[in-house]
Order: sequence, then C-alpha cells, then structure tokens
Amino acid sequence: MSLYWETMETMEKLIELKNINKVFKSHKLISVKKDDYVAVNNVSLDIRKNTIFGLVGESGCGKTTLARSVMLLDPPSSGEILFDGNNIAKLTGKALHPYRSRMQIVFQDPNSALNPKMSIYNCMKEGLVNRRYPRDKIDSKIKNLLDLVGISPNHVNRFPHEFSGGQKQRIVIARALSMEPEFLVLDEPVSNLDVSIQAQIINLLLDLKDEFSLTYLFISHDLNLVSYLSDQVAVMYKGQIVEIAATEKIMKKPLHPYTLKLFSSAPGKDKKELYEADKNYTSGLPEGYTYFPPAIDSNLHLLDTGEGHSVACYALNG
Amino acid sequence: MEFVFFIIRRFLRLLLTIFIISTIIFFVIRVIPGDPALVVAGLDASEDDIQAIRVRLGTDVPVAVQYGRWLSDIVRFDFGESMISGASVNKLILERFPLTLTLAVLGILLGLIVAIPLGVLSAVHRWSFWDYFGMVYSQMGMAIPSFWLGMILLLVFAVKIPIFPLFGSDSLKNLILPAIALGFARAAVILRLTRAAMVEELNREYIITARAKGLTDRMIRYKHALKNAMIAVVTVTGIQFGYMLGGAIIVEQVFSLPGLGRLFLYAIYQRDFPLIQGGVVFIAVVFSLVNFTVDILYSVLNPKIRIS
Amino acid sequence: MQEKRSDSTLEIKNLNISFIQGEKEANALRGISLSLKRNEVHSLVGESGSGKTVTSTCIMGLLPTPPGRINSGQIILNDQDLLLLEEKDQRQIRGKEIAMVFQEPARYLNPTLKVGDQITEMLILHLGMGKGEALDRALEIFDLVGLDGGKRILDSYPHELSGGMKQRIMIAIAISCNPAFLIADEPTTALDVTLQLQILKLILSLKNTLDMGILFISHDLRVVHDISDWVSVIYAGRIVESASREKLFSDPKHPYTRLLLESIPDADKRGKRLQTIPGKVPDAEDIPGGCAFHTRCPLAEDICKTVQPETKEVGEGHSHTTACHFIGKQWKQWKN
Repeated sequence: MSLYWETMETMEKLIELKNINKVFKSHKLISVKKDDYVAVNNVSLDIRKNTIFGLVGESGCGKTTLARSVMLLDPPSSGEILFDGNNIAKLTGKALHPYRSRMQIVFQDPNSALNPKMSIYNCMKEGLVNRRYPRDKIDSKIKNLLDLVGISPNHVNRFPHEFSGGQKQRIVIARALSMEPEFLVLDEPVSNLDVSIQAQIINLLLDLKDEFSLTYLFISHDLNLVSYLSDQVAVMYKGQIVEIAATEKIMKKPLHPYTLKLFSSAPGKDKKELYEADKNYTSGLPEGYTYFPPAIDSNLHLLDTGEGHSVACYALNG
Repeated sequence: MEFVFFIIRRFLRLLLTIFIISTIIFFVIRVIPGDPALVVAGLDASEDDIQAIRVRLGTDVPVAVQYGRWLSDIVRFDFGESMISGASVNKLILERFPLTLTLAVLGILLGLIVAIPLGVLSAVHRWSFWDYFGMVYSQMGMAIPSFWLGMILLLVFAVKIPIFPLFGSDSLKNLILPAIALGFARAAVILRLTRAAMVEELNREYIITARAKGLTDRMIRYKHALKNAMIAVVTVTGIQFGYMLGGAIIVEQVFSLPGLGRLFLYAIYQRDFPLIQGGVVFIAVVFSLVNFTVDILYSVLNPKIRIS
Repeated sequence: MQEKRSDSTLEIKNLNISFIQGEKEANALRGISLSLKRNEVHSLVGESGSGKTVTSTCIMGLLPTPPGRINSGQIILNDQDLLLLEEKDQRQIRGKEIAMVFQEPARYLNPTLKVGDQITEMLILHLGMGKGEALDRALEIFDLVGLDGGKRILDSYPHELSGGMKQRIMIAIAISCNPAFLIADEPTTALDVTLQLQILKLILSLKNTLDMGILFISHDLRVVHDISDWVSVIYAGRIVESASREKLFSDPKHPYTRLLLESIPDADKRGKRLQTIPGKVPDAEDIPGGCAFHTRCPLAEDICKTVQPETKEVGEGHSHTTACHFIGKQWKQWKN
C-alpha cells in the first residue's frame, strides 16, 4: 500500500457524493419518443479536506452539470450530498443559507460572472453585505482580498471592462474568497485565458489553497493541467464516473479503456506516439479487457481495485 | 419523417390554441357585467321581448350548457344568425372574406416587392443613396397614417388623373389603391427588418468561409446571406399579414370596400352579438392558421427548427 | 488529385499592417516574414492579440481595408505579389491555390445550406465542373477526409452532424480544389482531445497525399509540438523566434519561447511552482518601444527598452533565427 494512499485515507472528507443523478425531463407537450436526458448517472465520490479533486471528461460528459448539482444551483434529481457530514441535497431557502457561503464556484468565463455596470468595489460588496459582514470593515476587507489576488487596491472603483481577462478571473476569485468558503468548485477557470496568464492563475489558486486550507473540485478538459495539480482524478464519460484514483496511480496505470484513450489523445507527445496513440488504448489494455461500454449502463458500478483506485468496466465487473 | 411529426405537432398546437382562444372569448363575453339581451333589446322592451332575445342568444340556459353549445358550434363552425339581418353569421363572414383576403394578399405582395429588394440593397451598400432612400421611406411609412395615404391616393389617381376607379369592388383594379395604402406601412416595417437581418448575416462567420472559398460577392450575398436573413423576415411578414386579414378597417372605410373590417365595425355599432362572437373567433382562427403556415415555412428555411 | 506540382513556396515578406480607429493607430503586424513550403507544416504560435489571425486574413486577401492598412510587405506565390492583385484575380487564388480551415466549424458553415451545396459550389466555380461531376468529386473528397456515409452527408445540414464531422467537412471543402497551401486557424481548439487527435492526424495525412504546405495557427504549444515541421513564435506583431520543431522545443533561444514552454503544466512538474510570465500581452495600440517583450522579460536591460533587436541566425544554415539582445542567457528564478 502506497504511503500516499495511507495519508489520503486518513484525511477527513469534506464532500461526499452518494448516487447523484441528474435527469432533465423532456418538456415537449406531444412527443414521439421519450427523451428525458440523463446528464449525471449515479455518481459517488469523496473529496477530502484541503485536497484538489480533478474531474476530467470531454464536452457533454456531464462534468459541469455535476458541479452545478453539487453547488445546488441545479439540485440533483436524486442522491445525497454530504457537506461535512450533513446531507444538503434536499435543503432549500433558510436551511441552505449557512452552506451557501461555505461553497463557491468560479466559472470559465469571467465576463459573464461580473456585472459590467458595477464597479469592482460594488461587485465585491454585494456578497459581504449579504452575509452581514460588519459595515465598517467592508472597505479594508475588499482591499485586502484584491491585494491577495494581485489586483491593486487602488483600482477598486474601476469597472470590469477596464481589466484584462486574467485580471477579471482574479477578481472573480477574490469575490469567491470574500465569502470565506471552505470548498471551491473551479469549472475550467483558466481555459479562456492566454497561455502566459494560465500559469499565473494556477499558481495563485495553489497559494490560496495553502493559505486558507481550501478544498477544490477542479473541472477541466486539460489532462496535463489536472495531472499537474490534482491529488485525485475522476474520469467522467457519458454521465458516469468510469475511473477514480490518486493522480499518480491513474497516470501510471490507467485501467479503464476510456481513460487510456483520453490520456493517450492528449497533445504534447512525440510524433511517432501521435500516430500510435489511439491504437494504444486497445492494445495497451490490461488482460481480460475486451468490452468498451459505448453507452450509459446503470448496472455498471465502480469497483475498487485497491488503494482507492476504482474503475467501472464490464471486464472487471463481470 | 421528422418533418411530418413536426407538422403534426404544430397542427395539434394550432387546435389547442383555437380551443383556448374560443374559451377565453366565451367567458369574456359572459363575464362582462350586464345581460346582453338587455343591451340588444333597448330600454323600453317588455320582459317577454327580452326573454325572446335571451332564447335567440341562447343565454336563457345555465352557463355550463351555454359553454357546451358554444364548443359544439365552433367544432361545426356554426355561429348562429345575425340579430340584425337574420342571415347566418357564417355566410356573412364568408361572403366578405374573399375581398379582404385579396386585399391583404395584394397589400403584402406590394409591401414585399418594395421592402425586400430595398432592404437588401440598403444592407449591402450601407450609407449609399439606396440606404438613405430606404431610411427615409421607412420613416415615412411608419409616420403616415393609412387613411391619409388612402385619401391622397384617391385624390391623385382616381380624381385628378383618373386611372383607377373611385368606387366599387368588383375588379382587381379597384383593389390596387387600397392595397398600396395598406402595404405602404407594412413595407416600412419589413424593410427595416430585412436590412437589419441582412447586415447581421453578412457579419457572420460563415460569410468569411464563403469569401475564403473565392466566391463572388453576388454568390455570397444572394446564395449565402439572403436565405438566412429571410428566416427573420418570414416571421414578421406572417404577423403583418395576419393583422391585415383581421380586417383593414380603416382602409376599407376610406375606399368604401365591403370587406370583413366593415362587417365587424357595423356589427359592433349594432350590438350584433352572434356576429361579433363569430367574427372574433374567425379572426383568431385565421391568425392561428397564418402562424401555422409561417411555422412550416420557417422550418423549411431553417432546418434547425425541425428537430428542436 | 495525386499529381505533384512544382516545388512552389508561399513567401510572406516583411508584412506590416495597422488598424486605424479614428485618431488611434494599432500596429497589428510589425514586419512579419514567413516561408511556407509544400509538404511542410509551418506553425505560427502566439497568444491572443499577437497578430496570428491578422496574418492569415491578410494572406487570404480578406483583410478589410479600412480599418486595416497594409503599410508594407509582399505575399509571393508563383512569382506574383498577391497584395498587388485586383480583387477579381485574388478570388482565383482564394480557395483554389490557398484555402482555409477555421476554428469553430459550427459557426463557419452556413446553417441553412446543405453540405453538398457548400462543397460543390467551389468545384463548379473554380474547376468549371458540372453539378453531377462536382457531387462525384465531393464523395471522393469525403473518402479522403474519412467521412463515411457520403451521399447522406451531402444531403445533411451542418447541425445534423457532430462536431468532429463538421470539422472534417470544413477540411473537405478547403481541400476540394486541391490547393497548394492550406491555412488552418486553430482548427482543433473547439474540439475535445480525442477528436483533436483525429483531426491533427487527418491534417498530417492530407499534407502528405496532397503535397500541401500548411500554415498551422495555434496558441497551444503542445499541439504545435505534435504537428509541426517548422515553428514561428509571434509576440506583439513580430516573429521573435523561428526554428525547426526539434530545435525550438529542445533548444529555445528567445526568453519568451523559453518562458512559454516552462509555464505549461504537466505531471512532471507536480509539486513545483509553474514558471510564469508577469503582466500581459500588450495591446496593439500600445506596444512598448525597443523589444516589445522587455516589460515582461527577466533578462531585460536598458538596451532592450530602446533598441529593437535584429532577427539573427543562431543555427547552422537557415535553421534557427531569433530576435533578442541576449540570446540564450540564463535568468535567475523569480516569483510572480
């Protein structure tokens, strides 16, 4: 048993998802076929305190829907969300209020996250007033937060359009921090940014995590990025988690054929590999793997292969 | 197959719309305070007279029964008889409808003939003579009331230079001037929309692709941009056409044309309840049919709509 | 289709373009030179606003003037300067000699025209084919780009096809007239990694079968690493470094290239801080004097603020050029 997993296993869980489903019902009055859409299918996972949980998958696989469900922006159709041991999945209104500020989300596009008609000061003040932060301390709080994310506190009265994309994302992060959250969902937070800016934001996020003991759910399609910063990785495919493991493990020995395909498709390899890459995922399969599940199958469950490395595959399940 | 289901879905929706509208009409008329029979009969009618009118109107039975009758009337497309002339409401409406339909079709055609070329020209050559001309036209079209335009047209083209008849409604020639008066303002609306839609389409990315293919400006404009621009134009044209069918009351009045508009106007003057009810339902049905047609046309132009 | 043409090149020489907005003048390209050879992928890498798209738009003759203004430069194909051609003659080049593939196929295909129409119109226009002949040819091209179900696809509208298929169609349209050169502007940026790999492989195989020269425009150094023969790095409207793929990735000389490469996260850097480049790409209206990168450069000294560095040969022959006063000098690690 690896030392890494031993330490992971002893860490407290902050978020536990149990059998989360999200179904979008068809709204057609008269419909030829039943077309309810299962976006998230029976997802269970644990996120441990002060770790980064990476969620990867291709567009349409349900990773953003899952994130919105966890945040209760679109509550799940069924399943439990344990936040620090309390099931919050069915909470609404006042009961949910204390949890709202403990978890925050940062989206891909900072432009749609900031109201273009509000100064940065007012953008940040809103949330603080909402959570009844002492009025006389709001000013210094905002300035401290902006300073923390690398925005000059002198620019507090500027409007979003006066900042670059990277700066806007910093402001969005500062605003999320103003709620003093324990858990941050980061949904492709650097995908819209230039290469030279991405590294700045990533470093910032890592610093903030250490400083405030934050826990991240980091959603991305960029495997290189996820494998750089996550402690654990889950691979999502057509609404299901097909594989979960500690990052080192999954990088070294991916078990699910889809994970293999995804990892071998990531750019940045030798050209010879490029030609070979998608042959690899069939030839490189562990023994006994024959079947690649093409569609969602609720009967397929994650099976623990040891040390927290779980995989959903017929070859293993059968 | 997809397309057939789409049409069926839209048709069922059309039926539902008509049902809802007729229900609303029924209850609106019943909810208005006062007994229609009293209104029809006048102040010094006897109780017997009023009762007789109630029987004729069908208001002597409980509301639920009335509603049942009303629905069955609509299914059979039978709205009873006019209180004034005693003729069947159906017959009255269908007698007048061809004239209004011809007028509306002519009006919308004239409008489209002016609006689409001018709109496209304005969009393609922005800030040119044609663009300014189009702007002036659309301002005028929206500002000039149709009754005034109708009177001027009569004065100039029927009185001073008598190339069109002053009265009458039996030949197509009689309908040209009213159609112009009717179509003038519609054209202004369609023109503005055509220009806006065309400008938008010409700025879309697929136009860059078309240019990168080395296509001529002509092909880019008329093969690629125009069809996409027409999607928006069809919808608005349909709505405009629906209004015109509902009765071009003022234009029919100015040109003394015995169309639907005038029929309903008199029905209101004379408190001819069955005719008013029948008329409103008829207009609603026609409007829904126009919308249905627009939906179908829209989906032919815009293949995306069929699956969503 | 398989016949090989003479060994032509596409030369972009000292291209200088600005955009005029009222009083302001934005220097979009400040003397770009690129050389494209048949059967070679030349990548142009840079961040947003660095001038990548202006370059491709200008090569295609699609630069709107005004607001754009070509201050100087030449684009030479078959001994002709494309910039001097009449619009009518430029149209003969577009699509036929130089074709282009765009980033988001969903937006760059006409939503209301059938795929068949969108591919045959070019064959009819440029090659004078009849409709029937053009349709047959379209089916051949579909085979070439790996689209199965030929006839059915001809009759489809773009939205009825998946993202990967749409990009294949974009590529099919671009190569339909057998162009000598293909400009691919971020052709895989909108695609998922598994699709991206397929499209990259397709582009490489087409390059070989059709003997095409490809200008591959991207912001993603990893993708560029996979596909290129030659790489040019653009910053604020100038090429700062140009080299064969092997040289550029194994021995980058310009500090911008070196920093970019080091800032890319991957599993090997776990636990270490990422290298960063402070600040941001300058706006085209406000490009710093001297070396445009000096405001963000760890090597910058006084000379960098005033003197624009010449483009120098650093390899043997013409294998590696860069524009820096302190080529290859080491810098101390610093925190952002």
